[in-house]
Amino acid sequence: MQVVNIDGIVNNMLLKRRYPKHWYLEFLLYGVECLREIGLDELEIYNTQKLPVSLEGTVELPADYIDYILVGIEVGGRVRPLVEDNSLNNLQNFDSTFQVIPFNNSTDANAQDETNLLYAPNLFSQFLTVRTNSYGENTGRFFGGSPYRDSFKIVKSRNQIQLDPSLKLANIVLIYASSGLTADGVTNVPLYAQKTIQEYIMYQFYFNNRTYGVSETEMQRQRYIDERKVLRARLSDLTISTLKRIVNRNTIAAQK
Amino acid sequence: MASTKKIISEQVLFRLYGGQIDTAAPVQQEDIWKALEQIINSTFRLQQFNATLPSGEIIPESASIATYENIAVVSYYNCSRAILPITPISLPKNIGIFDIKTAYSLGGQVPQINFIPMQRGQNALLKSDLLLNSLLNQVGYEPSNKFITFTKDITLLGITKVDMDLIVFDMALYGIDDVLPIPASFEADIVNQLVQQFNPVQAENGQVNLLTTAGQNK
Repeated sequence: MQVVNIDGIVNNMLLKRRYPKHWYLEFLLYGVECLREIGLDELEIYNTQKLPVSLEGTVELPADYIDYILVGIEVGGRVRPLVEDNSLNNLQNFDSTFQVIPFNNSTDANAQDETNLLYAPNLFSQFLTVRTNSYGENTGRFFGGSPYRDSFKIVKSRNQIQLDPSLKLANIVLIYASSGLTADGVTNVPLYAQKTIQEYIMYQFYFNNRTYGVSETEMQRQRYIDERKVLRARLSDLTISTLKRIVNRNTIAAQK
Repeated sequence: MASTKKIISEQVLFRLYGGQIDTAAPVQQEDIWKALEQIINSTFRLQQFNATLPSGEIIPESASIATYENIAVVSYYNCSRAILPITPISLPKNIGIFDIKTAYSLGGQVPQINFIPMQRGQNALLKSDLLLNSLLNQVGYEPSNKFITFTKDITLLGITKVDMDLIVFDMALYGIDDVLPIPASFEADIVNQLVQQFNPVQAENGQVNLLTTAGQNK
């Protein structure tokens, strides 16, 4: 994949403006700020990490985490998703020496792990009841019949994911929206975004400089917005054929 | 041709009095050297602020950039620092310290780095930026009085010496036989100004004592 380096983008700007290295830090700040902005909307940087679970059932969120897409358990080549449950406690349980310990309801009898994760009501205990037919098949409409343990909660105040206390896992898989501002992210800026970042640097340079007037700054801002539109267009997957296919698929014979 | 203080002062004296330079002349070379320093300072500073900066050119005249090689770098707590060999001229954004880089004399055994200039106090502000607190693994420097403080201990990378490009207009620090870092195009103008300045100085006639007004405009 063709990428550019933000250090290269900044040096390129200095050369264009015929500025010495003394403007490097200022331009670098603007460049990184732009990367942060377009990382949220346009670049859509998603990361996947396998994260360790502590004994207390907590997982530390990654430094570049913005929002989660999926929290799941690795089972072979697939990921089983966990379900968000807001009833999990934000507070932690402490012992007499103020060490964090698991809550008491995590008894071994309820414990579930990667190989013993309940996804459906436990039908075995429902045999020969109204929940099953004479062949032992589930008749459906059986709600709340099983103690689900496959839940989690994002606790932002602790910068952690809290898992159900009965869920005994070694690791979880987290797919999340990244700010793109890890060291790797910065050294690898998509080529499409180069011009947008350059125009943002100039816009901010004008904006934060007292010698430029409002009209010049506004003109520079407009150039940045234009370039950002170009970036969106470049990143868009929509083609004429795709649009035609969408229309065709949604055209059905229906009564007037 | 590069000029020295001595060459210029001799040129001025020749135009003032002609022939052999006389030690009895009311204007001596020492008088011209000091005046020369003052004129060069004012001329270059005016050139940078009145002509260069408004035209959009930020990079100063190359003739005014002096290179000081092999300046020692020493470890200083968690970072490192070097001492400025000379006080550069005060220009916006510390452009007076034009460039600091790994000393050429260290060869290819150590990383060749052009250090990132920072203004004083910016490093402390940068610490709170999650991404830039290590300057993307680059090394910056902050000037603090006569010291240059690097953001990292570069001696650990084997960089024990740096080369500095400094904009030096302080001609008082140049010896009489040192080549002056002034563009050749300025020399004639400087000589003319000096001749004009010293031309009115006349030798005192008659008895000369402590209360004489010799050499002063009357």
